[in-house]
Amino acid sequence: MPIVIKQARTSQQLVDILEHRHRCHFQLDGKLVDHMDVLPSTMNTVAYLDNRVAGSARSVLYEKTNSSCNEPYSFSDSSQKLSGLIGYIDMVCLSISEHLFPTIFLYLLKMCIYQLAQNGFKHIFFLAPETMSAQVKTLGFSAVSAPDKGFIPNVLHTADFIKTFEAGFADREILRFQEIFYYTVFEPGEIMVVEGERGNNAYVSENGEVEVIVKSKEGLVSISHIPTGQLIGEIAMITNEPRTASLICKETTACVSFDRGDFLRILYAEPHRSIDIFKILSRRILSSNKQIAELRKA
Amino acid sequence: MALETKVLLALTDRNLSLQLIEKFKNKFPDCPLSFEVTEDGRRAIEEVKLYRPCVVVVDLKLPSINGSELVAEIFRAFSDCQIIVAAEKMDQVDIGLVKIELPILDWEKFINELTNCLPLDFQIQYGLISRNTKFHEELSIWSSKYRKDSGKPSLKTESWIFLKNISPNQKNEPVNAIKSLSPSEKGTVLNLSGFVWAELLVIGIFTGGLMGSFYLGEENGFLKAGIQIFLTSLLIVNGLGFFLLRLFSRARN
Repeated sequence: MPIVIKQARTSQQLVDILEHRHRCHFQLDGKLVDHMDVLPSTMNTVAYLDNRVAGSARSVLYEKTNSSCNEPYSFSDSSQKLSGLIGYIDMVCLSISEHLFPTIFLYLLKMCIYQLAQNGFKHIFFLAPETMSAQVKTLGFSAVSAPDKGFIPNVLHTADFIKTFEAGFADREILRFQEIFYYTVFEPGEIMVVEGERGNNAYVSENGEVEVIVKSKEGLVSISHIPTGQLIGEIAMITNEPRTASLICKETTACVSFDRGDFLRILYAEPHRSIDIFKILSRRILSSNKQIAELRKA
Repeated sequence: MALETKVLLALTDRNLSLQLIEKFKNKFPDCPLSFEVTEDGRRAIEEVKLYRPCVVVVDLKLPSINGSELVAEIFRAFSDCQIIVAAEKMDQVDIGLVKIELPILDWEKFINELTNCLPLDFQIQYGLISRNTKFHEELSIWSSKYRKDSGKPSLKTESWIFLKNISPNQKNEPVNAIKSLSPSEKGTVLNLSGFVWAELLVIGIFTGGLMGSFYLGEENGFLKAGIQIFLTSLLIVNGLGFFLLRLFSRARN
């Protein structure tokens, strides 16, 4: 089962997060010291593995006047140089499976940052443990204080993050549906899509190699690999027809995903947005036509 | 989130809905799928909100609401459901919806469409579809060469919190945060007190100097001012320094 990382929107997801935090706190401290806030300035992210919560993260609006955020480091010097809305990732709770731990951590944070950026936050602070500083830096964070401390306050400029995020999309029109995106992370050897089965979601792989397999008389045949940034599975998702090929991840593959229901909800509410999908599909048909022409020539 | 295994039949002809239920129950007598029936468009939207069905069968000619508006409203109410549209003319039907032509001539096809729209896990669990197990086995063998370790990754019960909440609503939270740190991390936090001591010393010298300057016109004024500076610095550094150390040692315990 892939790891699914989403912005928590439903009451059930918020309850899942609360239970998860409770469990993490209880095991760590032996008592509950958490509370749930669902304030407008609070955003919650949740990671599911096998339909169980594997991780959660909370981010809030960072206010310069908030003196308690100066513990144990003062952010005031750096925050004075920053402009616009500033966010603060203030809690990351994980139930871990050893080999999945860095993956969940990384993509949970990524989804958190993405969510903050979507809400207009210009800069994000994160108080990362030093052990995770390498991973945090891969996201574009830069250390604010000296790196010899146990915790390192980092700051991220969301414009840079979004630029990197968007650069990975070959089918750029799909970026206009960003509000319904979430992350799905597949482990090496996981089957993303099964030929002949109906699928409710489409993916854009952000990294990792995905192999395309089809059934033939001789058995299974690998026909190609999906390049990163390309939209996968959109036709079966829209038409509700069975998938035409199976997809297998050769390595850890993170995908930006969206569900059929959310996608159709947008299209039916704002039909003019379907033009973006037509562009992608037209390009696909054009490319297929070229391939057919080349094959005929050969 | 698990979907309720419920189907909403929003068809103008109630008999058609009842017929469908009967035929489905006859074909899959052990399947625990439940049905709700309505003949009104507005009512259908309310029922979608209430029951959150996994499939909604919609007649585009339902009273009180236009067909495409109804579909948009259903998606807005609960986007995780699948919609099957029943219409007399197929050109009425929009993108992304499963279509059934009215009047229904082929019940088998209708039931198949309905079954296909149910969640895959549900279909497998109650034998609504026959899965090609040989093909799945082949795929599994093919993909096994990429797997790093055998078996499914399982979640350990061990939990980690990477960052404690430092929220203004929780006054004790910074103390709790420090409590949960490892010994080496606590040491790092305590190193901060070095800066605090230096800052206090500067404040002490400054305050002492200010107070000592009153003695400058008097006999032995410089000596008195010096003693004043020294004593004030000592008092501030010891007093506040002691308080801070007590705070950190509480945190350490």
